[in-house]
Amino acid sequence: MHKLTTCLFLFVCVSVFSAFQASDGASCDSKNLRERAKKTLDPFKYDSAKLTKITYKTKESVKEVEVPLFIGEKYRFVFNTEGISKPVIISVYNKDKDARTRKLLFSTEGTPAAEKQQVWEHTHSMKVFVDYSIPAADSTATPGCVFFMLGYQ
Amino acid sequence: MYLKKVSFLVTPLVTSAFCLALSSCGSAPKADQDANASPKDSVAAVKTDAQTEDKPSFTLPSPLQIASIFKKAGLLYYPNIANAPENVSKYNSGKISQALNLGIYSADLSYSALNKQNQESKSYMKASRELASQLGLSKVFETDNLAERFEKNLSVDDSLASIIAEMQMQTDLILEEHEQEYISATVFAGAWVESMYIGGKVYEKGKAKNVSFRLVEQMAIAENIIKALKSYEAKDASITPVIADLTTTREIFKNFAGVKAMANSQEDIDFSKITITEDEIGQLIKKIDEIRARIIKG
Repeated sequence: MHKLTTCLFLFVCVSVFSAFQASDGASCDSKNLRERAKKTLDPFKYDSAKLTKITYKTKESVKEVEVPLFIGEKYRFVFNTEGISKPVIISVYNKDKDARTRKLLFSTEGTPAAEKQQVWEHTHSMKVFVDYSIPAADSTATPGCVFFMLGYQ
Repeated sequence: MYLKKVSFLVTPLVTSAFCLALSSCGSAPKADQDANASPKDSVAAVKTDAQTEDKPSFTLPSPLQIASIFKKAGLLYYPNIANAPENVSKYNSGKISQALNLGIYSADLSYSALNKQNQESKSYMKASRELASQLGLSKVFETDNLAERFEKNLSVDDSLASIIAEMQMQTDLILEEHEQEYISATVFAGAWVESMYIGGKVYEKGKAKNVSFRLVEQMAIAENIIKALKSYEAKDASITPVIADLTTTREIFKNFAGVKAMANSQEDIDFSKITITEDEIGQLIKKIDEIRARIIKG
């Protein structure tokens, strides 16, 4: 009995350690994600970037990032989803979530989950809103992050 | 005896489960600056009862891009408009002043580099490096020999811009890694003020219409800087006067007749369609001059 208890205890300890490792951002290595996104950004020049932490909840949730742009400039958006365990749909809108109506400009819906890097080019806007639609999952789902990099020409 | 055994088995499990739960809690974003929100009533919104949180999340453009936009709008180079590099020695009265002035010098560096002013660019690079080092950002210049590459590429326009963009990326990375995003927002606030100042001064000399349009367009960014600084206000009280200054600038802009009319007629202000008078531009420039004077005083 004592042996079984010890084994169980060790197993749980290992699980806890793994959870700590995963939740502490082992898959959210900003430096590596930046390097990868930067390669895809080329020949556009780096403008800004945003690492968005993704935590799964029992209900679907959405995180929104506002991205200011300048009229007449051509932009490249690079999204990297290597840091998440469950697929997140990335959508870009012309207005924020509180607007009565808004236009969808880009979406990764229907894109194979294996494609971890998405690229979109855009011009003629003063700002766009990037929405990350996070699927519902039980609370044990490993948290992660989505990396976004913006470049201009 | 049986109870004792059960307790012996259960205690570590409960403790571990608690630890596990704690670890999940700890993984949530620390300051949670990223907004959670539901896209309601949208054209192509997710039609579910999504959970929401209301904190704003946004990006800020780089000082180099602002300089590049002004340059494309016909902003000419005038010597002695930018802050003197030798003023760098004055900026030792705290992190916020240093960050704001690093932003000022970043804008000056971009302005001089995009206008092929090699000697000035070198001086602004030196001043920026000194301030960056005081803010714990000296690593930025060591990465991939960026400082060395900058010196070697002084005459190559596009390479220089790419190197400055690379420095921006490294700065963002280091500040993010050290959870010092408030420094990043403060640096940008300084860069924005200096870009507006330079734009304003050059506009006063030539009255170029494209430059005035870009000055107006920048007011959309002011809104985001205020939001960003407000979210970090608790970190350092020295941010408060900067927020107050930028808020006053925004209010001056909002009171312009063309801006008011547009705000009353539509949901979002379309900055590309706003017309403002020369007097109004003058008011904006005057306010920016005052803010900039306070910053560079140190």
